[in-house]
Amino acid sequence: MNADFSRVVFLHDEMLSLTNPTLMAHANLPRIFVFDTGDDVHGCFALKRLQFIADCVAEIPGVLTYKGDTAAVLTALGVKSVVTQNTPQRWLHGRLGAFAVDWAPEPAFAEYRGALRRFTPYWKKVETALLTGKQNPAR
Amino acid sequence: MEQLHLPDHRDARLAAIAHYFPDAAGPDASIPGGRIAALAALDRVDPVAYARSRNHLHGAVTRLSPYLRHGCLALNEVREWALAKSGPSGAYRLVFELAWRDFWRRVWFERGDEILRDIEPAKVPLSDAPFAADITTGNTGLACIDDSIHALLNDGYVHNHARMWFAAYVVHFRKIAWREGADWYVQHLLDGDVASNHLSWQWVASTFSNKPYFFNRENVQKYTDGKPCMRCTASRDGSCPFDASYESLDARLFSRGART
Repeated sequence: MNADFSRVVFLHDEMLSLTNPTLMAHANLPRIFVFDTGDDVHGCFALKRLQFIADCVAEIPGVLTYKGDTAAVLTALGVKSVVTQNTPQRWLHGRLGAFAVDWAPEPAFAEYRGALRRFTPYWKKVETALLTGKQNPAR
Repeated sequence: MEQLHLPDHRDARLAAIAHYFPDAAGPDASIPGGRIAALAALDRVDPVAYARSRNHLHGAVTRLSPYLRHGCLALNEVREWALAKSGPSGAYRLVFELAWRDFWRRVWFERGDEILRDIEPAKVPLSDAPFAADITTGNTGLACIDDSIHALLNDGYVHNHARMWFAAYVVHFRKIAWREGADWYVQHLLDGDVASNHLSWQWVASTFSNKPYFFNRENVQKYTDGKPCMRCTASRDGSCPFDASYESLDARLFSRGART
């Protein structure tokens, strides 16, 4: 294994498109996807879902795909730092804890900084902007 | 670790994944993944027809959720496409539903794994009966419920209304803890997403909403044209647990017992 994997794009299962902004912004870096066999991750997935993900990964050029524990795979490849898209999936933050990680923001849908107790107040503040493209001064 | 080779040909790829994951349960994926399939699905979406018929099980739903879940499509990409095709009025309902997805996700970002527990006290008595095999195999004897379980197990895609019926059946009619149902359900959904799934179950249970969601037979008939009821034994022999008014169901489901 002679390739330099010190810095890679870690492709997780919420960013499976060749048009993903983080992927496109780092087109020069190796691309790694791991089917993480942990029971809290892909280890509990039904077969059809693993196959669906494989369809997605297979479409993206140059992705090296592995099966195993994410941290162990990256360590074995000699990875030191990772670029990936931010995610609320806590397992991934845990698995990448030993690496230097650049968490790129995921593409925003709406501008909103209010409370998240109920959907309706959120919707009232983002509705105009989402439907017209105009900024909503109430946000 | 093991490096996987994903063949270009889909049939070979499905077989390869089955080989790499011999313990993974269930049939092959009937719905293809990837951005090419996602764009084809997007091209079939009719935002106006969606708004008119989305609650009906045979309505013009988008089936985009597996692609949104895995990033094959971005929420804004779908929003912009819908607005360009149907304008703000025609695209309203679709954008509204996309916003629900964004809202759930924001809650997940904000609360992290707290969303795996009750966010608020339940507004009705809940319980924690064991999750039963008749549910996980789709043999409850209730056609409207079993249909959705079979769709889940076979295709990994279930109409949103049927998801709500199923969650309400598990939580309120069978008195199973919402987390049990949500954990099982998310494993089989192609669009399995902890935020959209678990928070929707909490919405049904009333631990992240002002009241519980439940349904009756009339609601099922309205949004299925009565087809499941016509071949349902429980419907024919009078044992359908959903065959009641909302008032009597409310009294039956929530008047006794308390969460332990």
